[in-house]
Amino acid sequence: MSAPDHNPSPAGLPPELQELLEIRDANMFEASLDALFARRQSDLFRALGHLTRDLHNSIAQVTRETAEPPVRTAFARKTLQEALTMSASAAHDTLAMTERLRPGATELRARAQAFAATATSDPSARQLAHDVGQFADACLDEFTHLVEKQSWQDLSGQRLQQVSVFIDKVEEALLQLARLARSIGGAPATGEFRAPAVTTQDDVDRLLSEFGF
Amino acid sequence: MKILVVDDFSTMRRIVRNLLGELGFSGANIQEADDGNTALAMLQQSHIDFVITDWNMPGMSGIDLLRSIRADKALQALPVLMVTAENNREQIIAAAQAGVNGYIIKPFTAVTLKDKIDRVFERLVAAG
Repeated sequence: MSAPDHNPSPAGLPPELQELLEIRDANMFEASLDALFARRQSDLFRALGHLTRDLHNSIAQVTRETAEPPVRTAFARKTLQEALTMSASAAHDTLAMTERLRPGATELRARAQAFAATATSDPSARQLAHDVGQFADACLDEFTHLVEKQSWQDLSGQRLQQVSVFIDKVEEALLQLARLARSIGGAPATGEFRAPAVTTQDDVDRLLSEFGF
Repeated sequence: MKILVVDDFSTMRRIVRNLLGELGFSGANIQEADDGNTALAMLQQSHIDFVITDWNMPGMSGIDLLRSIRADKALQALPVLMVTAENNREQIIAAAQAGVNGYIIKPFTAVTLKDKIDRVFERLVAAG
């Protein structure tokens, strides 16, 4: 087992720390350490200040968007409702069409089958009756498929309603955020928010105090 | 047999009514309700033999309607078929635990509807 290295190489450390470790005078070391801490602290507060300003800008933007009556969400809701109404109307029209045609097709099939079953000397007439019966039968099958396929309207309608509910929730969350911004930021934010440059520690502290820090 | 179709979408009620008609059920015996509360009131006021209900509806949902039916002495034996877009495992188990007689996932075909209705009544006959 090798002995522990009490003099590890400072390689890999930031240059400012390497320089600090090379100082042999105690007072000078302490002064340099204080200066390093102050620099780091200042950088940290500056970064925090930028972050806070970005957050403030974002909230101010949301506040602007929601300060007026929520026209956009109302429009989205209205559009979804229109899509729902139109798709329901189209589905009802299709269902009504099949309901109108089905009795006729059913009757035609019965008459064709009855005619084909009678003894007729005309083979072409028998064939025609057979073909008509088959066609009516196919129409009835297709009517069933048409009815089944209209269930897409119900499914898409449910999805549209879910989206509408989601829009309501997002709108409410935005309004809550706007109210929060007003309560912590004083007057309602209108117009584009221009934060003053944060250059000193006092500026940073003042800005942070607006947010309850 | 009198059937009550419960769905908040008029198109789906009409589709089920159409398919039931193709399966030989008389349109005159098919009634409709657009939510569970309306359906429950209809069930308590008139004789219905079979309920086909959606799950998601405003007011009273299909699962709450089912639970209300099973909790009502006069209605508790009424067969209930759930026809719904809800296909997750938890909801199907919840319906089974609440005493549903059959469960159809939308979209469905006339053949599926016939198959499930037949099964519901076969089981009821077998159960005596």
